[in-house]
Amino acid sequence: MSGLTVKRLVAGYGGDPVLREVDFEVPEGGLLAVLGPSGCGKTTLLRVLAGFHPVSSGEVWLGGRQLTSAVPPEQRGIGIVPQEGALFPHLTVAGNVGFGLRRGDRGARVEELLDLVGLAGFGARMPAELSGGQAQRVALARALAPRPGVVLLDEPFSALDAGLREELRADVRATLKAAGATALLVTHDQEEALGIADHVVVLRDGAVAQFARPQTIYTSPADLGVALFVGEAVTFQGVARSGLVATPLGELRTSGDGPGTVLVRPEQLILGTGGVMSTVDDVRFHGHDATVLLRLADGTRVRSRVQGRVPVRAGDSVAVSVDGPALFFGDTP
Amino acid sequence: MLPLAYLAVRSFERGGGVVWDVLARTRTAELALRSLSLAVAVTASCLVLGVLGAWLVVRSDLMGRRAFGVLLVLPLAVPSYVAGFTWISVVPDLTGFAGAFVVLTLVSYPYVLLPVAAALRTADPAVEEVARSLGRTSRQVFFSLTLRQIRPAALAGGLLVALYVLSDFGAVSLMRYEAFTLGIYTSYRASFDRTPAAVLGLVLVVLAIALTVGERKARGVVAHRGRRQPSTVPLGRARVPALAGTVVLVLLTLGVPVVSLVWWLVAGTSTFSVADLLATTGNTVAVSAFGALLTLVLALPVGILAARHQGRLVRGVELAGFAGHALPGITVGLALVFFGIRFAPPLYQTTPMLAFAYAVLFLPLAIGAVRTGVAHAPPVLEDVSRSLGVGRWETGRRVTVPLAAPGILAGTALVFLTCAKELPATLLLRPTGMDTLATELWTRTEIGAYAAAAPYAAVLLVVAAIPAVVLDRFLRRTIQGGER
Repeated sequence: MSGLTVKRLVAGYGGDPVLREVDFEVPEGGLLAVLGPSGCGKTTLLRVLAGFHPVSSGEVWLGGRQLTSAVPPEQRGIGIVPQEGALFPHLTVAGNVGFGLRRGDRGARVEELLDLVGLAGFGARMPAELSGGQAQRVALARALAPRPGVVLLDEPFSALDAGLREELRADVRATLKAAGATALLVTHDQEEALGIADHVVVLRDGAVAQFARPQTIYTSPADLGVALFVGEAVTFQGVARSGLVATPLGELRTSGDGPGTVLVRPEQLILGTGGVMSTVDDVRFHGHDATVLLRLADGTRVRSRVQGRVPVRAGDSVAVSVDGPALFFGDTP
Repeated sequence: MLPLAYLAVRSFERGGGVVWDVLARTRTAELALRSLSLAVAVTASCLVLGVLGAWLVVRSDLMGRRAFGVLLVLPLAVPSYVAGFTWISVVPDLTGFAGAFVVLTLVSYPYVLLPVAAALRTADPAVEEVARSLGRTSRQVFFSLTLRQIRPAALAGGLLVALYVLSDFGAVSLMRYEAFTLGIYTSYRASFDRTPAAVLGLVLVVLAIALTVGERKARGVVAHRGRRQPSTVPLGRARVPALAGTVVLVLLTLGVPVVSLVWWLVAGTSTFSVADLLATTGNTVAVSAFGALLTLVLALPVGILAARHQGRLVRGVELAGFAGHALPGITVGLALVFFGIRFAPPLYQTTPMLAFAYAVLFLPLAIGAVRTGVAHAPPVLEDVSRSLGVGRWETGRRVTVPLAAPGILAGTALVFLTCAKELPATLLLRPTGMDTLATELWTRTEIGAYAAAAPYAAVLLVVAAIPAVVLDRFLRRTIQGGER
């Protein structure tokens, strides 16, 4: 096992680069999420790393060894877990997991991996007999079996239903950590990226918009685009002066100076403990929490995220205040 | 490529002037027109019969559709000359264009039916269900969606039919329809000058290449493979006509040859040796199996490349294979005799040489089958395999080939039975003293000994029918097993 380093990577189709000078690093045993909207170059990045697409310029290093375009996929030691698993339909679960192992090494290692992904005893089943989540676990076990330097996961949870997704996400993280594997996961789901990874790369139009810990990405996004992409937001135009900015929600603490965009997260909006008055337009219940849609005195609509019991209903008047500092992104002249 | 080289050498060995003379003859244009019109007519009717038959067998609630599934494929096992001679013995007036058209349609529509049935079995039913839920009737769905999904398969089958018709000799000679192949044959017969025949052969190759290019342009994209079995469509009021039509088709394609053979067998007075018949059958099975295996080995890399890459070289190799298919067996036979005597005397008139001739003749059948089969194996699985440290060739062996196995086996069975039926190349290249069912049959019909020929024809039908049945069974099982 070893770390993965990508330096000024450029790749594309014809003269049109899809990846433009991408830089990031995954330490040994680390789990990196590459987050971006569809079309941002995530899939191309995976294909380049796995050796299915040539590098135009830049470098890919895995554990002190440079992977040029001349190194074929089978000699890279990079495992892949494609969308929806892509198990070999003609092989049993054990046959799938043991596919990349030498014949003699199969038995024990296959058992060990099926155990690791919680599917002990499933070896004789055919892929068609598995549920979506089970298929993904087998696909992960298969990728881990030959002890690759890094495992690439391509939107591994996108085909699963929400409950299963969360459970599997935790399991996959635990499995990767238990195996000591270095992993890179691409996704367009910010909750998934922030929830599973040690580090997150936000990829936008083929370039790295931000590379940081999930917490940092959320609390100190590099720019307004990243801020809007990684979570729900309430934004206002405003002018910041000496750490304060005037908004329809009152004067908020912030950093920065001059005209720009003020951004607060819905969970920062606290109901019923002072602040400005608002009218409740609607309440959207999600189960674990709820979104309260509010209309302020000047007609501005904002949303608040409320945990636990919802103290208001549509038509109520309620005071709303902001907890903590607001983010501020100055207008680029 | 050997036969092509032979044709080129033969055509131009006396200079371009002779070539031009032959080409400029009105007879050449006439022959081309006759061959083409026959090919177009037969292909069109085969497309209709094949698509309709495949749909009835796979997607409708036709009574006894499983049995019909086998019966409708069996005409593949009927050599065109056997079909021709049995039809003439039943309807003596059926000659010329009409005769050739009827006989060739009835023996070659399975070339369309087989791939279309496979495509229908694996097509994604969700697409059709969406269309139905959007308010389309099942008939509209068939014309707007299903036909589109099966278009690549139908066109691939149509191409085989067209090439088969262009190169057929048995039916057109029996029906006395002056097509290209008969023209070549009479040209050989009329003089020892082989140049005109070679030039005519070249024209035939050009026609075949044009057809192949056309099919490639029109082929389109292979439809996404579904995860479920498609549901069957109730025929409703069309039930009785559909059943009647299918029965009539089976009677025409199988009934006529079988009844007429039985008649000759019963009426026949001449005695024949069972030992001879068994030995001949053994020979046929052996050379056909050898030929089918060799063809498969040659077709695998080309078919896999053709399915995965669209490079110019790959296209060229595929084209060359198809061009070979349009060559009449007699031309390929003569070409191999020419090269065999000159460059590989030890191989001349040996089983490997004959197997090689079969490979040249039937490579496109196998390539088409491999290509279709491989198109059904998702490329992402190959990527996964490579990323697990398994090299390109090893991946082909462990992933692509097993997944494409139903298609590949279908192709091999098809090549086997086509080898068993093949006549002209076998006549020229078989080892001295070795008879196959086809050659024995031919020798006897040549001298008008129909009764003596009948047992050989009957056994030939059975030998060729077995792979057709086995193949059909196998296809059903793997598809059903793999889809659950």
